[in-house]
Amino acid sequence: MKKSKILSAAVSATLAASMMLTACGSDSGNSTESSAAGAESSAATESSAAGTESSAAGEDNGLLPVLSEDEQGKPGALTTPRSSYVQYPYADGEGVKLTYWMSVPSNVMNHPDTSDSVQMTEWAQRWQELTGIEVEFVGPASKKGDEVEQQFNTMSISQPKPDIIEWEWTSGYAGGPSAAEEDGVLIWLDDYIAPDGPAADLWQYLQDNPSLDKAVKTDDGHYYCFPFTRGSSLLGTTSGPIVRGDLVEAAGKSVSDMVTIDDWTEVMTALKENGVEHPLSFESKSYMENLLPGAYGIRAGMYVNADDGKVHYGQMEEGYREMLRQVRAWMDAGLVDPDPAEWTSDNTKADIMNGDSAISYGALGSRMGSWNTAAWKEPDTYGADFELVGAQFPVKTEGQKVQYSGGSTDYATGSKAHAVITADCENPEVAAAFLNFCYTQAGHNEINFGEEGVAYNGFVDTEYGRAAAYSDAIMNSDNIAVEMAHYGRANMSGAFIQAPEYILGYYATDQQKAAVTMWAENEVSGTIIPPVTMTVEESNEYSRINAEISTAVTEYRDKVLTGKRNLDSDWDAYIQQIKGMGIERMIELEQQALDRYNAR
Amino acid sequence: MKKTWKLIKKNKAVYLMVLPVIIYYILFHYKPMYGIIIAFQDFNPRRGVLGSPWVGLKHFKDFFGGYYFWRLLGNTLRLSFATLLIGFPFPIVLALLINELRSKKFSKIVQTITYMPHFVSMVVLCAMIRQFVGSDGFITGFMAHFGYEGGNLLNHGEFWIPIYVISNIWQGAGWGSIVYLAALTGIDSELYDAAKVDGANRWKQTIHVTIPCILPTIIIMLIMRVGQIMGVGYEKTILLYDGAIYDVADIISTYVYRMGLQNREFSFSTAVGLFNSVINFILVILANQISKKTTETSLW
Repeated sequence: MKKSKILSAAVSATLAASMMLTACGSDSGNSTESSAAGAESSAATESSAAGTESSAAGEDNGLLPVLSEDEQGKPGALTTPRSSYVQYPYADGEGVKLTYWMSVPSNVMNHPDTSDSVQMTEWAQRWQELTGIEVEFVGPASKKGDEVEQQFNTMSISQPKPDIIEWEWTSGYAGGPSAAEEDGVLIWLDDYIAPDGPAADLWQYLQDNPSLDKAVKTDDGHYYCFPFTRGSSLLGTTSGPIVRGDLVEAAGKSVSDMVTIDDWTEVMTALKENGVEHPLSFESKSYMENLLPGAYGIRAGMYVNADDGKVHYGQMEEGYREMLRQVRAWMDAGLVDPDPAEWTSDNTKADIMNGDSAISYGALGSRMGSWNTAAWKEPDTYGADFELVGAQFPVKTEGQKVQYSGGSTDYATGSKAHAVITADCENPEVAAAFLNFCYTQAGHNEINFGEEGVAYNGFVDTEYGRAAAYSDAIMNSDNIAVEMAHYGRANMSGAFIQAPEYILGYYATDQQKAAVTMWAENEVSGTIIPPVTMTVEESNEYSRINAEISTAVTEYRDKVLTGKRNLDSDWDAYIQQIKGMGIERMIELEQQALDRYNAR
Repeated sequence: MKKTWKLIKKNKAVYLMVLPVIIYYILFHYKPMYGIIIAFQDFNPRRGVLGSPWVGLKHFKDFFGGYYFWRLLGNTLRLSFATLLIGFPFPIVLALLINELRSKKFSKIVQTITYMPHFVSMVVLCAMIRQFVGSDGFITGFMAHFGYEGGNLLNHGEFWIPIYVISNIWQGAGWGSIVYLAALTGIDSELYDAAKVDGANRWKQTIHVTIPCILPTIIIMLIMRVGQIMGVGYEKTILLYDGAIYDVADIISTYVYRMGLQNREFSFSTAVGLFNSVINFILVILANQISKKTTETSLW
């Protein structure tokens, strides 16, 4: 009896220990939610062709002539670099070895020749060769956002830090770049990003693009990073409404008629009558909030109202209520799947492919492009005239501009790809020169596409704009994106100007190119919150309030969608609830940060 | 002391076996404990544990004073107690049933099948649950025969706890029964023989021999389980819930998880973790005391 007691106790102890050990390894649950959002970061672009190929550097100071107001890049319409001030190979770079921390992009990880390291890519090799500066690339090779985050945290408190770090510093670091400077993580670059400094070409580019110049400074006016920037509005909106054009036509309608919400209802009703089970599919509720609020003059979350220039919070605007009302009406009419739990990417894909649904919101690459290609390979299964095309974002009234849907700022706020020089760097000048290379005329193409003649053969003018002519080796490979990422950074993020020629070279189908050029016409830049920064105290207060508010807002939305709460009788109570939680204070904090930004 | 040493020497193989576990505990459970002081700081990783500014009980006040505190606490306790009360007996019953099987082969098959869900990853398992209770899932369809018309069960708060608890049993009962099966093998067969002589049938044998013999194990497992009351994990909930049922399904760990996604709130989550641990600690001690008094079995 006693023996058995000891035995069972020992067994339970071992079991408890082993359970604990397994528990440590089974963290897989958290990565699922975040992946959807990350998938869209690679962007699209069209030829800007705006690059002034001026070589008249005849001024006394050796600088290019200053652009007139009209020539300067407006938001979303940046030029390609036009200077080549710094000479490469860089003379002082000899004998210097820099370390460069960046998280390894998944496209690089997926390439067979790289063994999970940036070091082995062609572009990393060429970059060192052409600048004459030796660099060791380090950083985590993980596809999980939280692991990368953790690695960054560990690295940023370690001593010594790498010389260069690519990260996002306005929202990805509590307190923003000023706090990072105080913490000794980064140094100000005012002496380097200067007409006579080792980053003179970036300086020139920022002079040519005042809106970007503003975005890469702190509120106090310090330069702190080599930014990742989208070189054209073509790269700004790469996700949007995608529609089964063949089904719409079969229902006697036309995709170009889908302008207002009422038009959408009409087209969807016709589709339904023609046998499409749920004409509109959302991959998630947040996709719904990407697609529809623009039609009601709002964005989900914080945005800038174009009329008064003030910060507003979409989920408390009357427009949001109207949007939910419309979605409910569509659900009741069977135009949208009435069970929001069924709004998943798997269901959407299956329904769009089978013709059980005809309209969705998604990325041009991973959705429209790959679904079209898949369907065209098997015309017997999916129908010979299967065609997904882009539609315009819906608006309130006919003739209205699309202002509140899609888009992004030139400075890529969401990307952890803005390079800083750390306080531990012994040769900040050399590091600045190395990074500056990507903002020179020659370096721009090198870093985007790779070696001319090997990775791409110049540019071709297409119906949609100037496109990079990628080499056959890339375009005929099994995974084009992965092969492209071996030669250039254009389809990833990083401290360079993303060239619009890449997206038109990369997109395989005309439907994608047509959609991306159509969406590039939207005038969205004034309604997106630019990369503002908050102090540590402000951002703590903000996120504490936001934790409660986002819970309340999600709960109300989801309960409305499942019919548990009512838009007529419960709306006022809901607004009172989030006001009580401090939504006004949150807007005020955001407004203050925006005011400081605008005053830069 | 001398005696202890002698005993250790005598059983050195056993002690050697337990050594890695002790080292594991010291390294990963005791050494990090000094980190809980960041619950009283505004921790900044760059300033370190000793360099971050002290804020006293700010994070605790924020948590207790938060709009959702009572709801989160209530939901956590309700879910936890439901899982414990309904879920705890299942592995025991299962072990008893398996123990009664006379065919070795069949009992092995039963064991393997019941362990299986434990090895299915949580993500896959939850995807299966979503299928079962979805608008056209088989459970929903089954309920429709009895007049249910509400569609997806996960859209309705009242089904949340049953779904969670029952799927927990499905997932864990087989695995949980291993401990009890081990305890059952240790029962002296003479006890059964004696009972048989006294005319006890199978049912009586179970009541009067089997259960009393594995009672210490049951009690120990129960005390340990009580110590996890506040620690309901967020993974399963995160994978199954959405805003429509936050009012019953949102628990402390999921709330902190969502908060952590928005901002790296090290200090706040440590404060919440500390609160959970203190409650758990108190509950374990209470359970242990009660059990000591009533059944003379206890952890220490």
